[in-house]
Amino acid sequence: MRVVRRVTLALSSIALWPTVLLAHGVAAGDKIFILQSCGILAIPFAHLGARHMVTGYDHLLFLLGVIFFLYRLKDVALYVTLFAIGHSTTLLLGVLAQVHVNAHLVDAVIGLSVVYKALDNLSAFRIWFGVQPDARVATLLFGFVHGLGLATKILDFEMSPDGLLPNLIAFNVGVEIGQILALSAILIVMNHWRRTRGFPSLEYRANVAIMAAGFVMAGYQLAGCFILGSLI
Amino acid sequence: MTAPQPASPTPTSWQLLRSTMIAAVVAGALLVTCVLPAEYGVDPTGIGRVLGLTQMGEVKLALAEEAASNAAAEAPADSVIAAAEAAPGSGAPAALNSRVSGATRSERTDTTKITTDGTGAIKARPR
Repeated sequence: MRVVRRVTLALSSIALWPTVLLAHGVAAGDKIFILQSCGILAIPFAHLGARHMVTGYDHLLFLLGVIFFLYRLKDVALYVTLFAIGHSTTLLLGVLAQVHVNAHLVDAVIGLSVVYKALDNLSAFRIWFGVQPDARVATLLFGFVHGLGLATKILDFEMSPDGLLPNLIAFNVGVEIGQILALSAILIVMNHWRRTRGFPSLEYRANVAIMAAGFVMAGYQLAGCFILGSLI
Repeated sequence: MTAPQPASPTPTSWQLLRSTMIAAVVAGALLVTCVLPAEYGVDPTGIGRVLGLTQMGEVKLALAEEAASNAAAEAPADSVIAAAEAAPGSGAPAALNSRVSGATRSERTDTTKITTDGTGAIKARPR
């Protein structure tokens, strides 16, 4: 137990420091950097992609839901690959084709994807409707939505067309790296947690809590759509 | 088998429905008392103002409005600065300028005491 606590502490301290940097307005600096940059800047964009994933609570919550009942690394790899294929596709296509979708609506759907995943973990669809939706298809579809969200955010940055494709690919690679880092951390904590005696009674409540968080995200973004949408 | 294993003690349909409703109610309460006041200055219960969250949301909303009006180049009657800055085709740069104009236009800074140091301006998403 002490090991678990130590690991959790270490992980949370690692997870916290980018937030501290963000609070000091580095994000504004990022924006200026992207506006000014042109040409191929693989490493900086990979860094931005990785950080987006590691500090993006929406993606992290969804991934937490996805790996809640995945025990083997092989299964985790399959689901991560599906998610990656999904969001890489819409990220690249969305930016290159200049698909402007309301970011609030996309983020609201991402919030609902968290709700969906939590309900799925509670086997709600089997109990309510007698069907078990294919988790792999759902992961791919939600990957598409998450990528669309990323695309709208990148389009807001108005990246220079000079070196756009290599920079986008670098950003994508960064997203993958960030996802692997985040998932490894979540997996370590999950695997320790699963072995504890309290887990069976907590897993149900944990998924209800994840669902509540998803509802908050969806409501926050939907409200933003109505309140700020009229300004845009 | 690659499909995830369901939770071991299968809940009943009613249990599940109750849990979902609890989740939704908790989420709704958090939204109404904290998230909406802090992010959008919308405070239906008044709790947000007591907690000081509504004031934060109002600053953000003011900045968002400013950025939006600059980006749209609509030039409202009072702001000559905004009209001058919002040149055609200026998307994100207009948002950066809006921070400057937000500081110079006194009616905003007087009432809401903003330190326009970027944190709010990032939220003010330009279009």
